[in-house]
Amino acid sequence: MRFNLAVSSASLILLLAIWELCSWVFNSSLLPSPLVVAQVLWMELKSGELPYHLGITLARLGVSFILAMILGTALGIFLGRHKKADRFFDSWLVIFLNIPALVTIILCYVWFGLVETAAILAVVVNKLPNVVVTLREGTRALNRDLTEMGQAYRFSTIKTIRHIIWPQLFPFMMAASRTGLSLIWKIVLVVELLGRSNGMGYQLHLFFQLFDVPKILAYTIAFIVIIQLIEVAILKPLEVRSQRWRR
Amino acid sequence: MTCLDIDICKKIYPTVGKAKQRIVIENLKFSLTTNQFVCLVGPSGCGKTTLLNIVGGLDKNFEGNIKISQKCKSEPTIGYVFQNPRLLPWRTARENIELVLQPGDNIEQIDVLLKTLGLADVAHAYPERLSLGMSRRVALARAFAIQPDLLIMDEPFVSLDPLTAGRVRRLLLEIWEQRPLSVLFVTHDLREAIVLSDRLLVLSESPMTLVHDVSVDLPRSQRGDSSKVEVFRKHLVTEYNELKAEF
Repeated sequence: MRFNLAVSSASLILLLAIWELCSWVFNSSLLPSPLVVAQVLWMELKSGELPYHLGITLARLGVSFILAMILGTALGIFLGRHKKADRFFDSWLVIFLNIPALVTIILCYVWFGLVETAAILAVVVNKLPNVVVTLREGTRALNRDLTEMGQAYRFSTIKTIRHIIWPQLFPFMMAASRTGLSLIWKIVLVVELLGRSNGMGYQLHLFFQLFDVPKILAYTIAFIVIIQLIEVAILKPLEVRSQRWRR
Repeated sequence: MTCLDIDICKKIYPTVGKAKQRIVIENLKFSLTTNQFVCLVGPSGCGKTTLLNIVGGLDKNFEGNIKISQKCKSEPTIGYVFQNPRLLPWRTARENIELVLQPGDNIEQIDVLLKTLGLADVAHAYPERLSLGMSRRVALARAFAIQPDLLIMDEPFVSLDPLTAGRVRRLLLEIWEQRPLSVLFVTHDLREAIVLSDRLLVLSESPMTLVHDVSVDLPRSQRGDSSKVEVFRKHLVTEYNELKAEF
């Protein structure tokens, strides 16, 4: 564990050193050194600009993530249980999986206007098919022997879901959450860039027009740190806890 | 109280892919009276597990009916010991047993059962860390714990070492003698059947039907004597042709 930590900090320091070296060689305002970026990051934090836009983006991310997970899980379980419905809707899923994110975003804005609902909807529609497919596989893989055991011992529906179904679906939920988080936050930025007047995406767009690379990098670093924190502090412990029964 | 009338006109496995439709059970009729220990013997693959699933209420797709006799109106509590243990891997041995209890059942008896079955040390272990023999014993404890009126057992002692098998057999008989309990027990071991049962149902190959209904009239006091059991077994084998091939 300690060794792992040492290795990853060493590799991070190496990355910073390469960055520093590059910025020194090119000596351009378009590639600022890590120190400059850190200063900008601190200023932005202190001014409250960064926390505000980051917060807005995280809120959008949270809402659309939760919506996509709930709807996707329900639909995935439904399709996993009903073969006929699955065969019928399978082609729909394939189509939705392959619509470029940009197209959904543009269409949502065109049809519903440049409003918050359209932004959230665009993100949800992009993520949904993914969750559906993962949870459908999970439902198909449910162990019939255990379901029968519950039936034989007269398990109530709630008991069956809690003790037999949920533990089997959980790894699939985790997989959907992980890929979901990384997919959604990228889409959220595009959604903000195209039709919102706040959030990370909007800010990045602004910095792009001003060619303000230090701020772009500062915002990016802040965002990466937050996403990693969610992964390490929430998702990973959840997974470890739920898998402790494995040999 | 259990008095079950089992009357199955027909049980069919439909065509799947290249496998043709198969009539598994045809005209199988017998009654199970209270406190009777019944062993089912028959060639492997003849449909004994299918029959147990029907009696246990897991398979409702058949022609005929399973009725609770007029005399005994309440629905029996059924304990089912499957061919494989079917424990929930994400719950400890003890939790697996606790889960099948209904509210108001006696929880303390679990510890007694675990101890009798030699499982006290592994009560808090997850099933994947148990040997197959141990898992089987947990499955037995689970079936005993709900204090069933009807115990359905599908070759429960396979893969237990002779010593443990003997101990569990004695425990089963003890439990059976303590309170009214009917047992439906599938086995391939004629000696085991003679030691345990009151009644032996000899079944034929598919479609499965009842060929002989033999009462095992060797007094229980003499069943501990293996030579007497052996004599009785020889007598059965010479009398009933169907038993010759298998046993």
